[in-house]
Amino acid sequence: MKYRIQIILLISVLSGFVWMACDKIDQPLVIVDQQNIPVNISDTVYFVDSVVVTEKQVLLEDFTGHLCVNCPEAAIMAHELAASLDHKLIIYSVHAGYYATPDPNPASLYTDDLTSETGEALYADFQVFVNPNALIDRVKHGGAVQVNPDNWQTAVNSELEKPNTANISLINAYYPNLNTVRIQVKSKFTTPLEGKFRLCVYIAEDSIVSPQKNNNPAVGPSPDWEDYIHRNVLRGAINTTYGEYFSADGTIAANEIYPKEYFYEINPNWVANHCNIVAFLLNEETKEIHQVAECEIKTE
Amino acid sequence: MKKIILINLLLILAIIPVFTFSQDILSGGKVTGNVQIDGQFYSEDSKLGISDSSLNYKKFGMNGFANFIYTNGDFSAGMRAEGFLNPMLGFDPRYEGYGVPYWFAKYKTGSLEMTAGHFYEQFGSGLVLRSWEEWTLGYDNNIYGFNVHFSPIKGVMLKGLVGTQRYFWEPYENSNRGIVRGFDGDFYLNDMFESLAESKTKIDLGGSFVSRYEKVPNLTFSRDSAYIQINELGDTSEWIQRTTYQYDLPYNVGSWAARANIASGGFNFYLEYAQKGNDPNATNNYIYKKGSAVYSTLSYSTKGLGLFLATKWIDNMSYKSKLTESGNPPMLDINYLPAITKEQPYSMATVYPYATKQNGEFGVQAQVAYNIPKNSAVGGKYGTNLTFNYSLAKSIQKDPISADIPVDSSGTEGYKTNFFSIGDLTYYQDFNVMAEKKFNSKVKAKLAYFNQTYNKNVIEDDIFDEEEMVHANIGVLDLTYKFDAKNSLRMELQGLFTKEDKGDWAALMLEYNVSPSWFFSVQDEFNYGNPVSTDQIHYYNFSLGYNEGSNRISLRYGRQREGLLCVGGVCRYVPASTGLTITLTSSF
Repeated sequence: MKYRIQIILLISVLSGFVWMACDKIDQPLVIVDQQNIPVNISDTVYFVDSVVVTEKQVLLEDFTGHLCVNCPEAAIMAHELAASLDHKLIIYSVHAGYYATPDPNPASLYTDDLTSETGEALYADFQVFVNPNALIDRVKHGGAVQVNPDNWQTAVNSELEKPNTANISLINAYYPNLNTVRIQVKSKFTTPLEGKFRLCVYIAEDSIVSPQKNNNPAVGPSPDWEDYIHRNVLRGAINTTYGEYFSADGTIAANEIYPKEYFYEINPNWVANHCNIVAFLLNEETKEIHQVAECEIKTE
Repeated sequence: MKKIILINLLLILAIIPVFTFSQDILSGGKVTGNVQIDGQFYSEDSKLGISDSSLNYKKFGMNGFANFIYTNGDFSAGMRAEGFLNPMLGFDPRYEGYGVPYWFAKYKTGSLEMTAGHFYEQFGSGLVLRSWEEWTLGYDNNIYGFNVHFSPIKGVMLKGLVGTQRYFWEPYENSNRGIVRGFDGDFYLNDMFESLAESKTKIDLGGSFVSRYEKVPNLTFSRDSAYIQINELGDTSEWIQRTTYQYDLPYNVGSWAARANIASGGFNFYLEYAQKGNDPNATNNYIYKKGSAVYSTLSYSTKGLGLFLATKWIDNMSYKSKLTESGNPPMLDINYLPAITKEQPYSMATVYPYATKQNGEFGVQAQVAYNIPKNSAVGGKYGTNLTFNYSLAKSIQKDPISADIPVDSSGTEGYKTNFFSIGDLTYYQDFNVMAEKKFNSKVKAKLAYFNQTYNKNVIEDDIFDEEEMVHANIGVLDLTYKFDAKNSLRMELQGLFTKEDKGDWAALMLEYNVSPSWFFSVQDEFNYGNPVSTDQIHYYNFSLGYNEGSNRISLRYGRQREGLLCVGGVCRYVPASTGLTITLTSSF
């Protein structure tokens, strides 16, 4: 009897500990975003540009690097495709990985650093280990989310054929005295959608002149294209790499307008009037992009 | 909803044939049940500011339930149908609908008792787990899952459960709330050990472990800090740096409790201590401090005298199965923090009720009941009952964790406190004395006095300051006159006197009973001292009721005053209304 009681007590205590699962949190808070917001901006001069998107647009994230010899040809092809599609295709280039690494030798042509924290995070998260390669609306095409240049046009067309599920209004107000852009995004889902949705806002800089490796003389100087114009280079995320929820818990209601506002101080080393703001709507679970809008920053 | 009801009924029907083969489930069985239907017809009342539009044109509210339980030996199964069409005023509109939110099947074999479906359970005094239901509050946190009771040897009772809690009519799906797991053991030492079997001192020990798993949401919040920037030309510009943080929230939050109960002679002593792991949630403003609680009672009773002392100390013990849930009505509570005040039977004594504050509270209660013997000088021919009660609820001491972080800051430990520390802020205090005396075979009287201190800001709005303290004195005279064995008249005369809040009240109630079937009553609560003259309102009520065996029907027409309705420290806000209420209760 005595041993039986001891065994029961032991089993009880052990069972209790098994059932009393508990997670101890040592670092309760993680910084996910920082914004510098000017005070009294109403007294400051500003310039506005805006865009409203009510038809399906597609985002092509072109993973590239200045050491990637096949990348210029792919980039030129992508921008020609965008022009042919009346710019319903939004493109930014993501310099990340081995081919984007700056050469530490100061005598080298390739010392410029066009990488960004956000670009490196996307490169790692989406396992884009070969350049040139692209994510097209971050949707799987042919069984993989990474799409090689031969399939870009097919994938883009396939995305464009999808029905539009969301509209975006994007307004940029640039305050030259503060070198800061105020970004107002209004999003409206036109159909009810299951899942949790996030808004991502990125900044890209266009027309950066910097050397680029190239092995196709038909598109430009080879093997080094010293005055290569890099188109729409991703500079960073304004509201973190994977953005923020539209609502408190991420769920959305059809036809409800979700307004968001951001202030972003532009890096003084960038050319403000070459910068573009890209905003897109993302399904948290599938990571697929439903809609994208791009708006330039007007500086005068 | 219909789909869920159908599934539930099919499940019950599916279970019954299984037992039909193993035992004769249909012969010798017994069905019991009870029903309550409350219907309210609302009318416009300009005095209370009630119009059709303020009622959302819902002129009729109905809350109803019906319990049916089938018992046959060691097997039982049951269900409760509920309908809120529309929910009566003061009940959460999310209750609107009709369905079966509670069904179960239970079987006992040997030392094992198994429940599948919905169940109510309590570990100890409930500090880490209590699921319960209170119809008048619209409160139901039943657990849907499995519950096992197992008694391996005499004197030992082990309980284990896994399930999800009720949330209005919303089914559990896609991890929309947490899963509750619990284990509890009760050890009655006098039954376990033969050497203690004859002892007059009875000792029970117990322990509980509870854990909640929840797929946590990505929650963020922002903090601003101001700074000034000076450019190369000496121009200044003011900026705010807004930093957005994301909480690292625990998926699993555990808790445990240990308890002891010692009874000897007329004394009974109970002590329970509980602790909870870091549980940032909407109630505690997402602080990461561990929670703890102590609850203890000491009682003594002998012929003509009863003593009861209780104390509790609560530190950050809100524990729900969904961390973002807060507000009123309180839903998804895993635990229960016992009340330390006396439930008051008179309406004026409930104008300022007590509500438990889960984030931190010290409480103490002392109650003495003394019966002055019959045929003594004071006790008279029939004796006199005297009851004294004192209850006090105060804040606990909370000190900042550092000079630059305010108390209860989100994403921090919140505050520092010492075990059983007592803060300066009074939440609630109630001293009351009641005398009950029968003068002769026809006349019986009760006389009561209440002195209450009520921190309106704390109890009603969770604002922790002393700005709106209400001090109230309440007197009650309750007289009953029996005309004969069947007919009696009862009168309640009450007065509430305060210089704060809504000022003085007077109340009179006359109730005529024709035993055992009929009662008629007229009541008026008059807020004659309200500082706003247009709010000096009569809350009149006319009621009648009829009993027939276990059936009862009653009608009431009149005004309902707004306020908190509290049971056991859990409260529901009741808005003012005017109309006709019909209540039907029945049991079989």
